[in-house]
Amino acid sequence: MINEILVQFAEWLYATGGSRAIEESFYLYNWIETTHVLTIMICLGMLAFIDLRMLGYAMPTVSASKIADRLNIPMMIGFSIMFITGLLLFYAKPTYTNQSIWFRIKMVLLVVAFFNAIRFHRHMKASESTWTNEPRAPLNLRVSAALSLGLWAGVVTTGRLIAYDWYHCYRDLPGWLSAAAGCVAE
Amino acid sequence: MELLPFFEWAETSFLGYIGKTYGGVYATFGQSLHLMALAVLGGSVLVADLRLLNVIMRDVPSEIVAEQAHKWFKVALAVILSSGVFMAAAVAQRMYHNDFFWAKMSALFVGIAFVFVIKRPLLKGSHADIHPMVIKLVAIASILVWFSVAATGRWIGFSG
Amino acid sequence: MTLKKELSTKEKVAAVVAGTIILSAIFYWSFQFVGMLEFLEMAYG
Repeated sequence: MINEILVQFAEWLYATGGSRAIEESFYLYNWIETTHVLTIMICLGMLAFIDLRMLGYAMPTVSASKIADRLNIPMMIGFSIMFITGLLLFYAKPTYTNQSIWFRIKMVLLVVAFFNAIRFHRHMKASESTWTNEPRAPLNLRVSAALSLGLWAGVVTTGRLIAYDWYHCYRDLPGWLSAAAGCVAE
Repeated sequence: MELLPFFEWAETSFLGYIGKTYGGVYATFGQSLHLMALAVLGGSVLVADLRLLNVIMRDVPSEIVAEQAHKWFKVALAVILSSGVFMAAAVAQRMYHNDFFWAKMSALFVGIAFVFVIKRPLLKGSHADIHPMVIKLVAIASILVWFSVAATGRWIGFSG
Repeated sequence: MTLKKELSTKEKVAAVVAGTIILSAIFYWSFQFVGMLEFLEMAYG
């Protein structure tokens, strides 16, 4: 049911002028994709330094909450660019992307990473004054930081794999995978 | 010096064979790992250079930021070079005929030499002893050269 | 702002190399950009 609705929505998006214009242009799609990929350096680069600081592997002599606070702005700028370019990439290839199992896993990982980030932020704000100058954050924050690095590694990997159609609907897939990838009966 | 035989050999080497034969290994241990290392490498370049340009973390001593970022730069460089060699081996002959590949290799060579011969030795001591304009020039050059390495790299994929 | 009058050799070398990199990067990317514009002109008229 939900897969049928998603397919209809993707087909509707696909038929819009803007979607066709981006995918069929000579450079626009590549430019958007390049921006999406290169912004990884801003968004995930800053995120990596924040998480590594919590784990005690980067700048252990500098206050942890100061690092998190100072790098948060460039990270969010990077994230906004990735989010917008990501939406445009989906808009340009909605039917293909909607039925990519990798895209679907990526979205799940992003949601989990979002809640993990909120949990991390809340715990950090509640307790930062007691440990911020320690080389390592308390265990529960270190778990969040490690989880964050792992989740984003998964986001990068599944994001890259969207380009591959090994498990696309026109392949011979087992039933559960076919449903998970959003395939619908013709 | 004729390089084509080397690229032909690379494709038939064990590394080239693995990358050519197993698409999943190529995509994960080649491409995905390369992108994760790009995040850390780019992050370390930006953290250090934006600090030197007084854009971020102005209340943290730039000596500490530059030194710690360099530590992670070296880790990321090792990973990005290994995954890069693996990817290039699998498609070596195509790389040999690709202009962006050579543009990237040139930028990469300049970038590595710049970091280890110019930037690191310059920034080793107290930054207060260095002319601020020189620090800013070095930071801008560093951002530009690594941006160029990454951007030409992405364009290799688009230019078949 | 008080600045040192003389740059050390290390600073001079760094400034020249950095300047060369910046100019080369600007040159390379403008060249690419003009090439792209020409291609688009050919494609779309």
